Amino acid sequence: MSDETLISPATTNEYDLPPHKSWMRNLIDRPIAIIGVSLLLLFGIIAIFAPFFAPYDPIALDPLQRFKGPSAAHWLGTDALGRDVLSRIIYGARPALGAAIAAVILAAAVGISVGLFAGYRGGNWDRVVMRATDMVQALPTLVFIFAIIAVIGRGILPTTLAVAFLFSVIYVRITRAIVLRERERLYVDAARVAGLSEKRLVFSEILPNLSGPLIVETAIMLGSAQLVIALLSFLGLGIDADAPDWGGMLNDARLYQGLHPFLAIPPGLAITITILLFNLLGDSWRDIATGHDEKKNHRRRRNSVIQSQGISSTPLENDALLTVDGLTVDFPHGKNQQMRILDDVSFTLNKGETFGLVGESGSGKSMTAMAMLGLVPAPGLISRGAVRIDGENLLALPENELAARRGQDIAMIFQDPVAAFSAVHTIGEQITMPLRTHQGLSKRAARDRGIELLDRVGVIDAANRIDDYPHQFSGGMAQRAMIAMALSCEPKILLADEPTTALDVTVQAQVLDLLMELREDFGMTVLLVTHDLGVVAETCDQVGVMYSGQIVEVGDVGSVFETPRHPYTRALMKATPSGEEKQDRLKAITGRVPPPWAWPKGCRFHPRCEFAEDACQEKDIELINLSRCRLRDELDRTTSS
Amino acid sequence: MRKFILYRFASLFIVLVLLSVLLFGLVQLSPIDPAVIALGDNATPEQIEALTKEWGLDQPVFVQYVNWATAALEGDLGKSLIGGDEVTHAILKRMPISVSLWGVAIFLAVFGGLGLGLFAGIRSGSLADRIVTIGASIGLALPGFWVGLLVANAFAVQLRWFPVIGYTPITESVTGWLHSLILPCTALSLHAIAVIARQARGTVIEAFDAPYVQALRANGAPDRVIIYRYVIKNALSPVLPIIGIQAGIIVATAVVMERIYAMPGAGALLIDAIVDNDLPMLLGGVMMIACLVLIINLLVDIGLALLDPRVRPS
Repeated sequence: MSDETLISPATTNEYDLPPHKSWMRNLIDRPIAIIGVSLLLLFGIIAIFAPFFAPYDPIALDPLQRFKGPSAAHWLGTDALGRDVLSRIIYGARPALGAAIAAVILAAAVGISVGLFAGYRGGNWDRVVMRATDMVQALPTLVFIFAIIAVIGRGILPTTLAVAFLFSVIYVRITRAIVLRERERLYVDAARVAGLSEKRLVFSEILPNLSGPLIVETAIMLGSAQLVIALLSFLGLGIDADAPDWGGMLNDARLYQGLHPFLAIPPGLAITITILLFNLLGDSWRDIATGHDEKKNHRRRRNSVIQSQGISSTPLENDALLTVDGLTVDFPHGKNQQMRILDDVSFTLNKGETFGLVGESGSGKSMTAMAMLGLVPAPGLISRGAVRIDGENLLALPENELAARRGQDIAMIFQDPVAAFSAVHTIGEQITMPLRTHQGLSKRAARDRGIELLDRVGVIDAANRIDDYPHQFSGGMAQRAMIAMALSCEPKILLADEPTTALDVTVQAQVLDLLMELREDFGMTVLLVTHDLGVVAETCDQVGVMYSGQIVEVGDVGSVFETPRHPYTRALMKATPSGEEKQDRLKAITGRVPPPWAWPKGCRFHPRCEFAEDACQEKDIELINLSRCRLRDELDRTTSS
Repeated sequence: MRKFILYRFASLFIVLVLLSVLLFGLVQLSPIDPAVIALGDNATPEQIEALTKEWGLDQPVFVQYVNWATAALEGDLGKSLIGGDEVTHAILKRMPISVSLWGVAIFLAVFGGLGLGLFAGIRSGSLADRIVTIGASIGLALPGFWVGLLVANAFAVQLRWFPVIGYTPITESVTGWLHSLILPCTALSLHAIAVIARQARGTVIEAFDAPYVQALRANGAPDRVIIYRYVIKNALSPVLPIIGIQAGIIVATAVVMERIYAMPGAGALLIDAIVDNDLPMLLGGVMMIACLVLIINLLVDIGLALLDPRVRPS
């Protein structure tokens, strides 16, 4: 058994994420966020310099000017006491924004400190703090605020304090959760080893990681705080009735709503717009922090039109069951750019044979299997290519006909069998899905057949276990159940995507043996995607070696392994332990598989190749004579000699 | 399952006891002397002292709590400081209105929110999805009390389609009851609809990306089966706790609609208690809401266990 880590030492490397944009750049790309921030700043300035902006004194009464509609003198009209509504809205921004900001700053100061303390100390301190927050959160926030105001009195200060206290609980929880997570992270350990004091550790390592989620939460809390404060004023529990304040203005409007409905519009709009802006700010920041692009959510679920023109139909060999012809998959990359993930992949599956598809992680083996079913994850697109079974191109079929072929003609099993089942449905319901969909079996008949199938793949006590849920199955048993599902309609071809990688070593061989046994019994053709050359040598007739989205070498297992004609195949073999020859050391391939946006020009393997020459990076290399290497024939000789 | 429910009931009771300690302690911090409030401004020091003794207010806080709690367990939450009514009786008398408001609003929130959210999630990227998403963002920012006021004005005062104020008991007329509740409950549930719809949309989209969907699809499941049999059921369990929280918020904010539509419900009683410094009434009202919210949470937990076998006790 080889270990993938030998070939590809780490999966987390600088290549895993697409090139990262700075948050500044991200912000500029979001005009709505810019508008939101500017408007909030504008509101803040207007609130601070209210006497300058307000046309009238907000509490000056004018009995002759009561209930006047909007006019040139009073842009938003006057209220029941003849006071200017616009001026009251402008002054009302002071308690609205001021109290909300004060409450949230206080909440943040207290909450983050307590959260840091609880999270960092852990143990009993942590338990006490968490139970206390549980208690407070058992009740809706507003009810607790009612109780606090009843005790400490009404008015703007008690209101602010009550809101601050309840919101601090949210900060405690978020901060603690992040501290606990960050504490476990390697770099904190590293910093500890490097001799940083605990205090410096908290401030220098943990706090920066807190800022992202907390900024998001703060923006949203500013909106909620403002809403709660306005609501308390509306109920007469918050700010004094005379002082201009949006919630109180709405309460006034309520009293005269029948005759003067316009009074409710300005304060309501003011509250709504401010909350909207705060929420917008929070959402934008979350998107920026997580690198999430809203556009990504609007994914196509179905594969769009597949262009199969320009694909020459290669004459079928006698025993060819399935041919993959020039399969090419593109993903959008940046604006109006395409990133080629699979490049002109072609191979043939012969009837009853097993074809091994090998390569490092990220070489495109699994993508090839998915693309063969027309199931490229969105927003990817099969831009060229054909997959022919008995001469008919599957990819040219309409989606519903293609769906009917999946599971009937060609089925698939996956790497992580437990995740490949829905956790909230029984195993039985899921493995009988193809029987019921494709063969229209009744629930009872499908269940009976399901039990037989489970029994056939070696699930003990199948009649009872069919009603179990996936989490009650071990990995090996779940993979057997997955195989039962894939084989239920007796497909001609089975695609097995790393079917044993996620399983215990002891179980791997059993599952592989089962697969090979079933292949004989059902007369199936198998495509085995694996990174394990040992497995290929044991089970496969043909092998295709993939690198950077291309097949670099293909042929029958015997000749490819005996005389590899691509340096990558050679390197893979040297990195694989073998029982027969004694090797002092396994030789890891230097470097890593580059990500699709960094594929080099010319031969994609040349930066890691020991035989590379200048000519290798000049132009793309074709797959000629079963190898995609300029030196294919020379290599042949060096191996045989 | 029965054991699980019993266990959850037991922990509900413990939380309730701890919460009552917390709230009772909070009320003790109040500078207000209940005896002074009950006797009014003209009471003599002798009268105040006599009442303090009679109510046991001179005893240690712990004893006072035990007395209050044992009485509360028998359904006696004490007497109002204003007018001397039984707190339990006063609350129960107003319960039909509050329960109607809560029930209808929660119903609208659950079905409206889930309906819109699932619909938008299934058709993510479509025009309908954009409309729901933008609508939810606006719904999140709209203060319920403003919407309550606006719809009251538009549909009751101006158009006269609905009664402006008041409440028709369900025992009198079912349609009249519904009629009097539609406006306040729509306004009350708006925020919850937005929150639930957003969450439901998100979990559906996430569920679509799950490996099991890939596996089902690779073995021939048509979209209709994937969506209606698998994705929706998987998407529901993360939404359920959100529904619980929103139901609690509806219970807490119903008081606003009671005020706008002049419905004498339990929330109005609570606000009056705050304004009048009526501490026993306040404590009783808050504990009553606490009970209800905890029961909602219990139902959510049971619902989760029914939906998701992984949290089900074996």
